Amino acid sequence: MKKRNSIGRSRFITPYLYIAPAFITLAVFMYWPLLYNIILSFFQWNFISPVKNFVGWENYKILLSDNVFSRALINTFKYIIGILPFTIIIPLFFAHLVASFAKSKAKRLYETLLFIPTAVSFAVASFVWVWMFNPLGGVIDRFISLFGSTQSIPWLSSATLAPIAVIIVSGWRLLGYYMIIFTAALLTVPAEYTESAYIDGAGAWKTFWYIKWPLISPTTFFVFITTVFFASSQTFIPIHILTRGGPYRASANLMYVVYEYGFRYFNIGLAATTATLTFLIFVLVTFAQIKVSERMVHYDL
Amino acid sequence: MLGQSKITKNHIFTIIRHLFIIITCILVIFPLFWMVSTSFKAPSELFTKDLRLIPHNPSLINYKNVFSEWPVFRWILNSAIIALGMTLGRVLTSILAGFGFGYFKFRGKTLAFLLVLWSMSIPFMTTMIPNYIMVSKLGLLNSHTGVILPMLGYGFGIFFIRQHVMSIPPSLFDAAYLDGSNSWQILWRIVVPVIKGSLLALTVLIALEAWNIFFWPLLVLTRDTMHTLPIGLTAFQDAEAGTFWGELMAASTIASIPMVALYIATRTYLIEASITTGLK
Repeated sequence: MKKRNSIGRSRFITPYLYIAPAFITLAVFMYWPLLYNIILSFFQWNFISPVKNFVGWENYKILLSDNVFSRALINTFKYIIGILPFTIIIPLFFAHLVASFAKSKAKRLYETLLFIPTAVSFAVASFVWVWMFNPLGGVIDRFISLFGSTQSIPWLSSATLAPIAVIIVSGWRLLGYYMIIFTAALLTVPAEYTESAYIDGAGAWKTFWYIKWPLISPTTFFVFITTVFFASSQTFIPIHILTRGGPYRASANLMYVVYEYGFRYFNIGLAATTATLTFLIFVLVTFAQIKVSERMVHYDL
Repeated sequence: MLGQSKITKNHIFTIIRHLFIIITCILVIFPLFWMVSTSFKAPSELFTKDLRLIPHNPSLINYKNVFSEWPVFRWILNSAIIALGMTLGRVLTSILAGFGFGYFKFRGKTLAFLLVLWSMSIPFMTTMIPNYIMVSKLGLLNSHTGVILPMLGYGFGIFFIRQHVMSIPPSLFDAAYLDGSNSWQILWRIVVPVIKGSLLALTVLIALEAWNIFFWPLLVLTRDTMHTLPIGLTAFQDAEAGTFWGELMAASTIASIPMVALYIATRTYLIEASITTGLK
């Protein structure tokens, strides 16, 4: 039987032709650049000069003795932790709530409205929020002034609030996408499971915690991984548009620092070094995630 | 009076839940409402002290300015070309490779597939500088190709298609093979029609990303006639004249309409596709 299943499926060269277009582009624009980036981290170069100076570990020494890198690293984790509620807790809560409504026009409307921000680009999202955060007549201040306060909140110019503003914008933009993912995941939980739990006298909370949560754990894990990824890369856009990494780099993450070194100061060596260290941290994080998932994720449905 | 006694605790609870979600919907959608509302405000209405949710004298002046003072048509065209090229390219390479991995057995398959999976977790920032150097050496700065080319290999798409190909019953393939079909015919006559719903969802997801892509075009497309719509938005912030908020919100509205419409139209496919991918 096994043999029959694979008739015609082991031609010598054909399979390679199918994967070639994707694989070659990945090799040329991903695997090779990754390697080349590591090589560049050992040189001093400014994009223009015809010679690259080999400097050994110098770039690494500069970077690790300076607090630009460590602060950006801390900010990167701050963003991951700040954005996680917007990609796991809140969307799961609302997906669960909306799923509990009977099929109706209202339910469809709720879903559609909550999903919409995801269709908007990060750039549009950022600009709209910059306008809402505006200290001169921004809508948030105007709304607060209805309650008698005349103070304006320095969302983008305060070192404490600027990262929070970036988190709000990213969270708002990502919420809908993860609601789709959790809505889909909750639909896969067999109704018999929840019904029998209900008959056994488990309340809504217990049913969720002991039945649904373990069953959707592969999805939650997927969401966790993509959040780490999004929070460290896509946040570039709100950072760039809201604060340019400021004030005093208080809102700059690692990606922003790579961009600054590379395309503002044309210090390719430091940019490549920052990117290389980021990559190493990512490998560690991915490894840790796989280890954690082996213990906490249930794939047995 | 009789009706009131029928309102049980359950009913009240349901009403509260509805109210709660309605308030949430309003909060979530408010920024977009504010964007559209601002886009219809004349300069005199931008910085009022009152809340002014809806302009007192709606005006089209911002839309007029956007098209007359900035090369917005050009930006829309650039965005469309890049979105189309990137979407077609990614979908096509993903279909081919996903089918390759899902259908065939070949030497090195496991390693190649692991490399594809791994590509999903390589942050773009770790490859962007070499990519920039490469694209600039190829003379592709300020070109659509320069934006599209490095974006073509798409690990998630390959994984997504492979999962779907593997869920197709093998008997379907065998029957076609015995009828004399080769793998190319099997791909286009069997696989693609069978998975077309999910394929549509994948296409929409890629199109959303491609239309909205910001960072890489920001590096590659520096000339303002080459800007895409999201990059063009930065032009409304002027170092000397300040930000043209009305025009910026009008351009943002224009940039958002196609994708929001596409999204609403294909929402059910997106949910279904997320279920069938299984994410497992």
